[in-house]
Amino acid sequence: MLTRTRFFSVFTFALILFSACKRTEGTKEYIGPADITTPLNFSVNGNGLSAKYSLVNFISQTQFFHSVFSHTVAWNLEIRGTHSGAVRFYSGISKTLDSSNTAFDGKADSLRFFLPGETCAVRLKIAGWAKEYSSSFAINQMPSFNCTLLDDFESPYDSIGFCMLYTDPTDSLVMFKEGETDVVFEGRKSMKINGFDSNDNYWISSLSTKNLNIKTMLAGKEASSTYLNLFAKGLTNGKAILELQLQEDENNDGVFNSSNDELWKGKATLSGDWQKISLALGSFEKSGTIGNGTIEPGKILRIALVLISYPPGDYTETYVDYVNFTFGAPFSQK
Amino acid sequence: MKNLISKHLITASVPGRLGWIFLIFISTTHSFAQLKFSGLGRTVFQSQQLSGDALKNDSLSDRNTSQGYALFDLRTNYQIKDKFRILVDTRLKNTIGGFGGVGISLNLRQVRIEGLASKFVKYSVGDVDIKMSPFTFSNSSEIELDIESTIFSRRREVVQYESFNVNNHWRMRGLKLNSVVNLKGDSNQLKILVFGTTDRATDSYTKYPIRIGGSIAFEKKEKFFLEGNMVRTEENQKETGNAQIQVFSTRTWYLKHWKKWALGGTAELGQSNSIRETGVNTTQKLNDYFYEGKCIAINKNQDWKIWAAYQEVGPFFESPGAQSLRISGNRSSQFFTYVSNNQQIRSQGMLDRMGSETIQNINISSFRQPYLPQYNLVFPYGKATPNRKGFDLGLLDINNRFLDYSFQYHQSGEVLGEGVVEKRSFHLLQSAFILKINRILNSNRKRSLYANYRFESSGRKGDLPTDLQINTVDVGATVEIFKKFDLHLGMKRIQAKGNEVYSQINSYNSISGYLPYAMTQSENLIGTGIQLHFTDHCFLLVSGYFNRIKTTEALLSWNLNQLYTNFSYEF
Repeated sequence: MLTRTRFFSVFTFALILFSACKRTEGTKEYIGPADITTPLNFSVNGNGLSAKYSLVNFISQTQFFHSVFSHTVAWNLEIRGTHSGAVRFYSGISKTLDSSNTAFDGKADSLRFFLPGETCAVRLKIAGWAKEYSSSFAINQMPSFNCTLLDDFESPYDSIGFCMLYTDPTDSLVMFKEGETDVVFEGRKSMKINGFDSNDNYWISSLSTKNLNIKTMLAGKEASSTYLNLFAKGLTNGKAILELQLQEDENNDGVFNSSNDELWKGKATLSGDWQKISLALGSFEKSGTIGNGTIEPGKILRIALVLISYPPGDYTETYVDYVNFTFGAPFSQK
Repeated sequence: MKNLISKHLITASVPGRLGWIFLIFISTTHSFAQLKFSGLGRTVFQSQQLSGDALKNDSLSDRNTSQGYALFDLRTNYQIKDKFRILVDTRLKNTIGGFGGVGISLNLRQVRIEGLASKFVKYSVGDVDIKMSPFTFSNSSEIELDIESTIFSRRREVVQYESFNVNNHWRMRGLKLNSVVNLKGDSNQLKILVFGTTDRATDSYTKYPIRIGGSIAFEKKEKFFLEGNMVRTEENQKETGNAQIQVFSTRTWYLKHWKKWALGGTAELGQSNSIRETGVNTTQKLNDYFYEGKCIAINKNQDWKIWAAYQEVGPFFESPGAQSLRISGNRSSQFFTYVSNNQQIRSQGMLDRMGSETIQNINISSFRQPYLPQYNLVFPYGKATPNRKGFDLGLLDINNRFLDYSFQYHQSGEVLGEGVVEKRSFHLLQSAFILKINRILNSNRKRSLYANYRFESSGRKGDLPTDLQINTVDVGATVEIFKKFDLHLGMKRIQAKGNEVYSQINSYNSISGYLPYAMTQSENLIGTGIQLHFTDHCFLLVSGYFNRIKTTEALLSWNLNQLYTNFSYEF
C-alpha cells in the first residue's frame, strides 16, 4: 500500500533528479541566428535616403547618408561612380543610416577609383523589402591615398616623374602621351605609350623617372616590404608586356651606367582591362652580372617603364596610371 | 498433392512462394494450433476536379482526374497455444483501370510474430506498435480539432489505416518485449517495455536508423502510477552525419478516491541529450529538459473532470519519437500534385490532409519537419513542441446523457525568443460539443450534432512583431434517415489572418533562418454523404467534398471538388 507520504517522497526524488538537468546555451537571450528579416509593416521614414553633401570635397569632407527606418533591419548601401564604375559597399543591421555607419571617404572597394567631377549613384536595399531607395551626389576633389606617389600623370607637361622617354630608333610610331584624358583610371588623366616594333626586337620604348629623389624616398626601406605599384592596361589581344626596371646607382656617382650599376627587372603581361601591378622590390630579378647581387632600395636612382611587344614585330600600347610606392603591403585605396 | 505443392513452389512469384510456404507450414503442424482469418475489404472510387486561381495561365496541370481501387487485406492469425502466434496481412489490390494484369499487386502488408517467451515476457517481432509518454515516444495526432464530424472522420480513418497511424502509436519494425508482473494480486502491477526497432521506410538512409528504448512502471490500479522512460534514436542520413538523441523521463500520477470525487495529479519530467555530426570533426551537442504538472478533479457521479496544468518544454528539447509530424507541411497530395504548368507542388488543403492516402508520414524524423501554422499554430509538434512554457485549464464531460462537451484554455509563451529577444505569447481556446438528439427525442436512430471551435493566436512585440490569429470551426450532423441509412453533413472553416515569422529548421534541428509571411487565408471544406450500413461491419459511403482555399497568393488559391465512394467490410 503506497501512502501519500511515499508518493510525495518518490516525486520529490524525481524532481531533485531532474533539477540537475542542463539547458544548452541557457544563458542566451534568444535561440537561432539573429532574426534580421524585415517585418511586413516595415517603412522608411521621411525622404527615404539622402546624402549629407550634394558636392563633396574628400580632401576636407566626409560624405555620409541619412535614413530612418521603422524597425531594425539588415541593409546594403551601394555607391557607384557613374563614369568610373567604381563602387563602395556598406552593410549593417540598424534602425538608422548616419555618419556612424555610412561614412564615405571617397575610397573604393573596387579596383577602379572614383573620379573627381563624376556623379555617384547611391542605392539602398533592405533585406526582404522589394522597394529600393536612391540618392546621388557629385565628387569635387578626391582624397589622398596612403602611398608615396611617383606620378599620377595629371600634369602633362611637367618635368617631374615619368618623363624621360627612350625609344627604339628603328621602331615606328612610338608615342608617349602623358595627360591622356580619353582613358582614365585615377584622377582626370593617365599616360599612354604605344608604338610598332618594326625591327622585331620586342623593345619599343622606355620611360624613366626624372627629378624624383627615389633614393631619399626609399632610404632605410626593406626590399621585401617595399612595393612598386601602378595601374596599367594593354591590348585585348594580350600583345603588351610592361617591364619595370629598377636602376641602382651602385657606385653612388649620381648616374646609371649599365656597365657599372646594377639593373633589376620585373614584368607584367597586360590585358585589355585595367589591372593593379604590385611588385615587392625584393621580387625583381637581377639583369646582367654587374653589381653585388643585392637589391638596395636606398640606391635606386630611377624607375623605368619599358613597353615590349610580344610577340615581336607588332603594334602594342599601354596606359599607365598612379605609380607609387607603398611600404609593408601592396597599394590599397583604403 | 506433394507434387502439386512442389510445382507451385518452383513456378510461383516471390509473394506466391511465401504464401505456399505458409500454407505448407500450417498444414503440417500439430492439431492444437489455431488458424483464424480476419481482414478488411475496400473498394474506393473517387473523381475530382480542380479549378481556381492556381490554374490561371496554366495549360499543363491536371484539372479532372479519377482513381479507384479494390483491395482485400487478409489477416491470417496462426497460433500455437500462447507460445507462438504469427500474424500476416496479405494485401491483394487491384487499381481500377488496370488492363491485362497491370495495377494488380499482392503484398505482405504487415507481418508480426508474437508469443510468450516465459511466464511474464511477451515478445513481438516484425511490425510492432510502440507508444510511451507524450514527451518521449508518441505519435501525436494531426487533427486540428478534438472531435470531427462523421463525414470527415470516415475519410480520415482510411488514411490512418493505410499509414498505421492509430491511437498515438508509432508503427515500427523490430523487436518488442512486454512484461506485466502482478504483485500482491491484480491490483499492483510492474510493467516493463523494451524495444529495439527501425522505421518502416528506410530507403532514405545509408543504414537503418535505430530506435531503442523502454520503460519500467509500477501501477496500483486507479490510484498510483510511477514510470521511468528512456528512448535512444540513432541515424545516419545521406546528406548529414550521425545523429544520436536520448530522451529520459519520469512520469507519475496519483489519485485519491472518495465516494463522489477523485482528486489527484500527474507529472512528467525529463531531459534530452543530442549529439550530431555537423561536419568533419565537428559536433553539435544540445541538452534540455521539460516538465509538466497537472491537477485533476473527477466527479464520479456525473462523470466529468476538470484539470489545471503547467508545463515547460525547453527550446533545445529534442524527442524525435514525440515531435515527428504525421503530416509535414511539404508533403504533397496524391491528387493534383502539381499546379503552375506542373512546375509547383500544390499546397495542402484540409481535404488532402484527411483524404490523401499517401500524405501521412510513417517515419520518425530526427529534426523538426516543416509545419503549416493554419492547421496547428500553438503546438505544431504535439505536446512535446519545444520552447513553450505555460498553463492549461480544461473541462471534459464525455458521458453525459444528452451532451458531450469539452473546453480547454491554454496560455503560454516561448522560453527563449527565436532570433530576437522578444518572446511570442500563445493563446489557445478550444471547445467541442456533441448533442445526442436521438436521446432527447428518445429515438433509437442515430441523430447527432457536432460543433467544434478553436481559436489560436501567436503574438510578439518588439521590432519584429507578429499577430497571427486562426479561427477554426467544424460543425456537422449525422442523421439516420431510415434504418441503417445515415445522412452525414459537415463543414469546416479555417480563417487565418496576421503576420508571423516562420523559423526554418535545418537537418541538425537548429534554426537556420526566418521566413516572415502575411497570411490572409480562408479555407472552407464542405462534406456531405450518405452511408448505408449493410451490417455492423459493412457499409457503403457515397460522399461529396468541396474544398475552397482563398488567399492573397494566386498559386495557393484553388477549389477542389471530389466525389468519393467507399464500400468497406470487415470480417
